[in-house]
Amino acid sequence: MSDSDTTLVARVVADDDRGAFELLVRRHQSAVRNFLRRLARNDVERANDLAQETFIKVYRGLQSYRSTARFTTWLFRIAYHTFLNDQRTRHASEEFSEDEHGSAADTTAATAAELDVDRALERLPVRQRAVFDLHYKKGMTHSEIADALELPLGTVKSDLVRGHEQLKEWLGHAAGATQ
Amino acid sequence: MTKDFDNLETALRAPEPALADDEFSASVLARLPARRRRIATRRWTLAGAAGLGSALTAVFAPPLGAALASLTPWMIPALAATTLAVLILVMVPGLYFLYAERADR
Repeated sequence: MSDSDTTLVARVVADDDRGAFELLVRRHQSAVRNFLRRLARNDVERANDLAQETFIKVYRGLQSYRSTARFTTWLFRIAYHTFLNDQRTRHASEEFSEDEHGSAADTTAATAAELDVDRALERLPVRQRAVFDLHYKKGMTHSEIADALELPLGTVKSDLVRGHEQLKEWLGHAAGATQ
Repeated sequence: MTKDFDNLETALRAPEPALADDEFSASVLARLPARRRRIATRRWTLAGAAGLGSALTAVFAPPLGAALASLTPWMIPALAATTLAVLILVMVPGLYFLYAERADR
């Protein structure tokens, strides 16, 4: 039977067990890289760099990790903040215009382009992308997402409802345009 | 209602691809900070620092205090000079220990 995350974390904290930390990285690298790809709009190289940075922050912060929260909740919190910090330093204004103010022209262009669900998800604001990924791909509950992203529970729920409506609208337009 | 529209929930729940590790884990491990010393090593360092401080104090504090007092008799009385010497001799290994602890983090 494989060791639990908590056991591996305890081994890293007590003895600086690099083998245990490697197991943690191997176990969660795919989920974290997929999550960051989603946030980075499928920029694979950037997502991989941020995933590496995330795991290094995890290693440095393990002493402060409290096992009252699930390890994955804590892990995705670090990944999310790593992405946001990177976003701020790289092109904050670009993200603002893309995320909060998707223009009508953009929408029209997109509807003509046979959007699939993944591409539609990429068009959601970054916070909603994170909420959708953690809910639908990682199977987290609303309260776990709220904990991971440090958001009020109501915000998580409304992000899911609004995002759902938005996706339906985009996909409906796209399907209508191709019929 | 379109097929895409109907299948939105199913599509959202579709499992994501499992990404092969390739060299990812190795890259992360290569970028980790230098290995921390084991707890046993830390305890020996602490014990050594305390022993060294005590030995240095026992050997050097009285003559060092006397020397300080003779150099600056108008500023530091003999007792204060000895106290200062004790503090210096204890603090040097103590500060070294704290420095080593911080460097490990």
